[in-house]
Amino acid sequence: MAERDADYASQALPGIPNEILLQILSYLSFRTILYARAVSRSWRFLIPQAISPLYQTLLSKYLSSSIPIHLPEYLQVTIDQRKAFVEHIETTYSIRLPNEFRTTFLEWPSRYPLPGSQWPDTLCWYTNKQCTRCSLGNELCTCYHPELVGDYDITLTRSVFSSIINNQPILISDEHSFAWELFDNPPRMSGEHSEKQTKRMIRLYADTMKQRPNSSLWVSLYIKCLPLCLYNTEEDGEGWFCLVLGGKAKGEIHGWKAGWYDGWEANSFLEFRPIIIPA
Amino acid sequence: MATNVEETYLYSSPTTFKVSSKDGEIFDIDDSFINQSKTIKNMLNVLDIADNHMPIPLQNIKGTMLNAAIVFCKYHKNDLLSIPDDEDEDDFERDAYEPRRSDDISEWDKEFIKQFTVEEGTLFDIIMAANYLDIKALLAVGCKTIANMVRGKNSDQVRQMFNISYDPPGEGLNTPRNSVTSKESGDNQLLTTQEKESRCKTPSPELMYD
Repeated sequence: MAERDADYASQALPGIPNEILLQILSYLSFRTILYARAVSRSWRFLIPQAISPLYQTLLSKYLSSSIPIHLPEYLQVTIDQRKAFVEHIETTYSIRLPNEFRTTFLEWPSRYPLPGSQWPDTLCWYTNKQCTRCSLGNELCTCYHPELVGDYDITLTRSVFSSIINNQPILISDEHSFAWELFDNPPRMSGEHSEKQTKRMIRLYADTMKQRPNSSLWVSLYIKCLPLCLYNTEEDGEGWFCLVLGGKAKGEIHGWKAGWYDGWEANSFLEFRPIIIPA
Repeated sequence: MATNVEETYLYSSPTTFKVSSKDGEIFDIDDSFINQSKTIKNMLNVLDIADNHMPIPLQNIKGTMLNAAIVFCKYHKNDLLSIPDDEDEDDFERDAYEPRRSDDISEWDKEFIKQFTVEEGTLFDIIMAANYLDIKALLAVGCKTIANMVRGKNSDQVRQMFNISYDPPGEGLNTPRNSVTSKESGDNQLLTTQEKESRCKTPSPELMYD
């Protein structure tokens, strides 16, 4: 096998050593990479070594046979439409979207979403003006009309906040069990892991802490987010999976349900597995 | 031009040297070149050349290329001093999610690189010279220029442009259309049906699944 590999890698570009071809290939856009793979076996062999980890991930997803191609039109979004969405968000809210999310949106070469995934509800809504829940058009649907970017909060009692910041243990049975934030997401994640993630989040955004108006008991931390997808609408209100846009957890996906912080969901957009709506 | 006091060199004066190309041309080089060519800088540090009348032989580089590299370094003498001398290729991985760009070549560099072409092979010569001399900025301009040439071309055009030969028929991805007959094994399992269909026709990727 090693011999064959070496074979592919020889003479990839006449007169140019492969190390330089690797640098050349590293500048290609994802779209160009798809064409460049067909130039020769050696190019195809070298490309995965040359491209960024994000492109590597996108490429393996693109080459997998599980791209969901039987989706209704209102769940399909072309590159140009995604470009318009990114531009709209970035100019309206004067922000820059996290790189991984941004690149995926701008360069994924198909109108169909990544395998095992679906385009965010907010994107589909923005683009196709049709609700992904009830598939009704603009005026008729009353499911949701998300404000695209906003501050989402983590609200907890001041004493719990300071316990977390000072690394003190919190007892659930304690009077401080006002700290619902930490334990309130059984449908998705529960127990120690969820609590650990939430504590981490509270520490990461501690500097945004403000006292709740009219209350000395409660404080809130603020995190700028882009809501992506709805979840759990039947039970206690709707929840939103949101992309964190700023601060130390930028690029991660977290949940907010019925206005309350609901826990960590994914490290990045590419790891995010929203609930797939059956076509 | 302000002198950069933080730049210190292991070698001291003189600050100009002579180099000779493969075809025997002799050039004067100064700080602008020495600072940007890591190869020369290392040579001077190691060789401890006291006599600056003896040209340093650069056996790999033609005079025209050496001259061009010197011109490039003269123009870039100021901007490069501010860039930290990062040794690593890790630069690459600095932000795994930030795509590397090839559309950010400056106007001067675009004009500069126009004198070299693929047809005459001079574009590759200047890249090889930049690589040998280890002039990062020049190497990047050359590589980006080639990357831009690849952009928007299908695989046939790329092969033609760079004179890349086909792989043996029936074995590779780039076999001409209709000649892929047998069921290929091994690495072709990586391909989706859609890609197998599209790989010779190279349609717009946007339409690949339509």
